Amino acid sequence: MPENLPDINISSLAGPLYVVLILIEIVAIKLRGGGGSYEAKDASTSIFMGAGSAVIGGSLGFINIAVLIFVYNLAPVKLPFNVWTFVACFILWDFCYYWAHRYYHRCRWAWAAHVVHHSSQHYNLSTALRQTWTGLFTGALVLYLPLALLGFHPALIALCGGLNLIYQFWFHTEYIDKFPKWVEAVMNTPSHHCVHHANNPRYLDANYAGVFIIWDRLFGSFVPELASDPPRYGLVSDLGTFNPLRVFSHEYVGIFKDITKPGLTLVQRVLYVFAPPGWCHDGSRLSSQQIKQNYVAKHGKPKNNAGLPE
Amino acid sequence: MSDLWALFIVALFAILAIFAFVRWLYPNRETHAITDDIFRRELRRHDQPKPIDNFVLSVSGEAAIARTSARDELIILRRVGDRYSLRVLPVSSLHIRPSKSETALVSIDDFTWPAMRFDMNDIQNFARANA
Ligand SMILES: [Zn+2]
Ligand SMILES: [Zn+2]
Repeated sequence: MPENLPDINISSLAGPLYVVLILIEIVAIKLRGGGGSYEAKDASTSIFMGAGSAVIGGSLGFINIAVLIFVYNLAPVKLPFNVWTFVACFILWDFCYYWAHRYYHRCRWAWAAHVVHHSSQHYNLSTALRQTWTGLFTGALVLYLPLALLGFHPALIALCGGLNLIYQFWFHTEYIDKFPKWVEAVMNTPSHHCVHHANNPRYLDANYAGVFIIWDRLFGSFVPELASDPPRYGLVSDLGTFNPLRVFSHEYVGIFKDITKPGLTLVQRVLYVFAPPGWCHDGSRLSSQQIKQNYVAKHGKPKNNAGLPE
Repeated sequence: MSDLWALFIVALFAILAIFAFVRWLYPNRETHAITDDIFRRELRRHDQPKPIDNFVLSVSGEAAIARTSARDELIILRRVGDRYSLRVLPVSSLHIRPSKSETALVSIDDFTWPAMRFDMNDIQNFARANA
């Protein structure tokens, strides 16, 4: 029964594993003479963000659990804990994650939290740990509540969430190239997720998947990694610092500056908080759609226009 | 709660160890002042193949500001670790503040870009040329 699930803090168990795998990748890249890159300050900032996220997430996690339990108690049917409900919950959690992740990228309020994960110009295992400290405040939990309403126990939901995030660690690497076609067709892999971390115009807002890439294929956000367009990692506007406090808070500061500008209407102020990143009232910055359109206008339509406007 | 803080303290030690290990295995080779070649390479890498006239270098050599052929446009390049960050901005977004010993602090209204220190004469000449 769900009440008998062991009380395991998965992220703290996985912590040492993450460190060991990072050390292995650092050495493996050196031995091969390629397949990724590390820079000391960049990796330290990433791991510091991860440690901060674990502490803050762990301290406030009870709020998520409390909300899930409240909704679970409203569920007309309570599902038992067995292999089938575990598999179903795992797949459905990943489905919810896809939409939560899409929301992180398409609403500036959520992007202000998630931007942390995309702020490195490197793509290695340490980048996976570059996590937000303010995930709770995005409100993305709402997207997972249907699981509790379906009758999945909150402990099972939390377990599936933890396992999903652990899966997402390993594919933050350039060391591994492509897998056999059937794997790349179904699973999220280093090749698919490196696209998600790239700021090349065609790769913006692509490959939101957690474990299964099928969601991107189903909902039209899949873009394959192309040899003709090697990924360039980081944000559209590069950061000029490794300071974790600035990395963590810069988009919130940007929102605050925008909404306190004189002369805006109430609607414009609201849009500065909730519209897609890059929205502005005066044409002074670009959304990802505009960046893609400008790219095509500048370079013409490439032979393979995946991720670019028709 | 105390477990979390213990985890955090252990993580800080892990960070220090990984920092030292990475720096030993991959010493940052990007330590020289920004050159013309680096500037042009980074313009290409950022898909901004704009012709630049000349650039002024910060005191540390880790930041540089260039004019483009567009009259009102500046490009600022800054080394961050072993990578380069770049901004294309209107001239008006450059703020110059006099600082100690003949230098000036130059900032650009960007929370993630701490002020850069330039030689006062260099940056004033540069600003005048753009006026
Ligand atoms: Zn993302
Ligand atoms: Zn990622």
